[in-house]
Amino acid sequence: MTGVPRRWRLRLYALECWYELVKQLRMPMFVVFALGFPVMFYIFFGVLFGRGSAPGGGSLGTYYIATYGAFSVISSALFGFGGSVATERGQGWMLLKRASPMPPEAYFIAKLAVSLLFALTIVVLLTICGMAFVGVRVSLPIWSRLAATLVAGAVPFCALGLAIGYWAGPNSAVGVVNLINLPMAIVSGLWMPIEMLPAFARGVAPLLPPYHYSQLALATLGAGRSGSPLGHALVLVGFSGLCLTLAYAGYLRDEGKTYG
Amino acid sequence: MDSTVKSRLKSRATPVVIAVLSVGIMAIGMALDHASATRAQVRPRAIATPQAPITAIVNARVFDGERLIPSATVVFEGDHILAVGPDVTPPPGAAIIDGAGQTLMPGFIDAHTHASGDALERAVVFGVTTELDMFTDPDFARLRRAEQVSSRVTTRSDLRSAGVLATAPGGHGTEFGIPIPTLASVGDAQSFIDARIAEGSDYIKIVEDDGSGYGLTWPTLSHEELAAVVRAAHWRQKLAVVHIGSQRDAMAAIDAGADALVHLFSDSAPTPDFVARAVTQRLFVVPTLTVLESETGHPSGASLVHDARIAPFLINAEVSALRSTFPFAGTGLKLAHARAAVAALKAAGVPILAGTDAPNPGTTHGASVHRELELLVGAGLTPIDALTAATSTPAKVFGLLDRGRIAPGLRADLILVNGNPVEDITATRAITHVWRNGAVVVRYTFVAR
Repeated sequence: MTGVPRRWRLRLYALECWYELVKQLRMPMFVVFALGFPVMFYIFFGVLFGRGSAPGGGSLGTYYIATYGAFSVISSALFGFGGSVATERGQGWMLLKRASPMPPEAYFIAKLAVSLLFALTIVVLLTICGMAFVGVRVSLPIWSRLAATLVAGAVPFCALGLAIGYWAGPNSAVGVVNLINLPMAIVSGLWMPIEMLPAFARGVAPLLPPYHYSQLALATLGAGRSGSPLGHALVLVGFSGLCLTLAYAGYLRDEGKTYG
Repeated sequence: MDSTVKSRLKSRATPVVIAVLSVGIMAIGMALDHASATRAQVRPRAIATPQAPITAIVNARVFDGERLIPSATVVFEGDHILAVGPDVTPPPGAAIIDGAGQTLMPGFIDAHTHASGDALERAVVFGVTTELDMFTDPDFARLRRAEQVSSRVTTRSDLRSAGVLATAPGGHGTEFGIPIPTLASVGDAQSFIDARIAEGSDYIKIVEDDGSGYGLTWPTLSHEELAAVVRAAHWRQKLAVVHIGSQRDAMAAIDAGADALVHLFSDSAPTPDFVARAVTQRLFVVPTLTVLESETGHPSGASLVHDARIAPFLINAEVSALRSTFPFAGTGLKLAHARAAVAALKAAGVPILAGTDAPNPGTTHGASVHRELELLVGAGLTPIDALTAATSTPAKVFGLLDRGRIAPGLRADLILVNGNPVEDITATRAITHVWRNGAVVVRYTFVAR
């Protein structure tokens, strides 16, 4: 560990978070993919169908806040972690960080903090769109539970992003993220309700983590399919553990390459 | 082994163990979710829409339990109806449901069932929000009664029950393998009835049937015993309703002073005397054409199994039940006799109630009410009369003042269907929404997942 005094360490964490945030915001592709697309889709589908009633109860407008919220949080977690870790590995950024007095965890904690902040921003944005364009009305306690679930659910997908970031090359990471993210989102019912999907997708969805994430979010609205919230949560916990282990293995491989 | 090799092995093994554990946790989670989702498929859920405590249905045809309003707005809050009418404006903040092209009706009341197991959950799926049970385990009725008092959001239709029926030792009602108290003599009548009331019976169901209509021989109550039981029920201010198997049994019930027949007969054409006595006695009648049809050898529910508006919501056991008939079919019973009796009673102004006798062969809870409505219209009731027979009439004669109509203050048990049942009675099957105590009931379909 470095010999930096505690109050300097805190400042290092804060600075790392701040620069991570500024860096993400200055990448137009990231903002467009992670924020722009889901909001655009939400407004499009919300205005078209939002006043209809959702499977499991409630209006589709509110339902879509949960599902497009989940989609957007996953995208931002995968791009924020996966894309940036891979790129920065390629740039030799890790070596530079190692030479600095910053604690190594700060790098990851900053990325996680920014992902959670983005997740919250997404939920707020979608809710504002819903209220403005789709006539959505949600009570504050229910909205708070939805937002908390969506934000907390960013963690497993940050872990997935980290694993991708360590195993994919700097140039292929964005491609790999897209390849995983879009099909998984569609099949899990994040673009349109799972009940509208073909039987094949309905059969596969329960094997995919985004399905469990979105169902957990929908449950806070009293919507979605019936199922076990505990089951959904366990799937996400196990998935986080698996991804972190994979990321760790990738990290070891990376270290071996650099120093071994 | 060299210690560095050991520690290197250990450091390689730990991530593998964690990965395997993680996959295990995921598998457990998926299994839990799968188990609960599969269970939920057999149980409808009622869900209170959390973001809008007030719901307004606009532009729908409204059958209010007595008449049809061509286009009206119905507003309900929580478990009760706030307002009904063509000029009602939905309050701000209400969840609006556009019912254009649809018809809103009170939840149906099935006036003759035997409820047990998941009967009440299944009934709700098909828009039956109240079941008037005519013989079941009093413990089952007691459990449901406690729940009805305590909970507002429920997955079950409301239950009123006769509890144990009054029959002779060895008579109809004792053949189901469950030991029940029976009535041995006239002197037993009051104590028998008082015991039923103590168990919680909401009304008294009596059996007058010697089985001759089906080629069977059952002991049955003597006319004196029948009259004594009816008197005992009336003494405690309870309705006395009678199961009959033939026109002769029906006359005996009328002679005994019964309030209602909970079947019609199919052994003979109705005599003018029967109709006249029914009128003067102010009798009400639950024809149960559905079960009478199955008794004649035609499984009454067979057509429901092929109806695309019903079939997706049936569970496997219901499909086979709807296709089954009684073992004694083909004993000269004719549904035409019962149809003629319905028409004659209707013409004479006798109140007719829709009842199915589910879950007897050819019938199931919920779905069969739609067949009964079709058969009642086939027997000569207008669709409005048939709908009234499943809503306001049973509510009125059984004293259920909080339901059966769509009016301010009444219970928000409602059904929204596509089309117009007043033109085509089978439109009652095209249900898009069921509200039970104001909460939407999720109707699971049973197509392959």
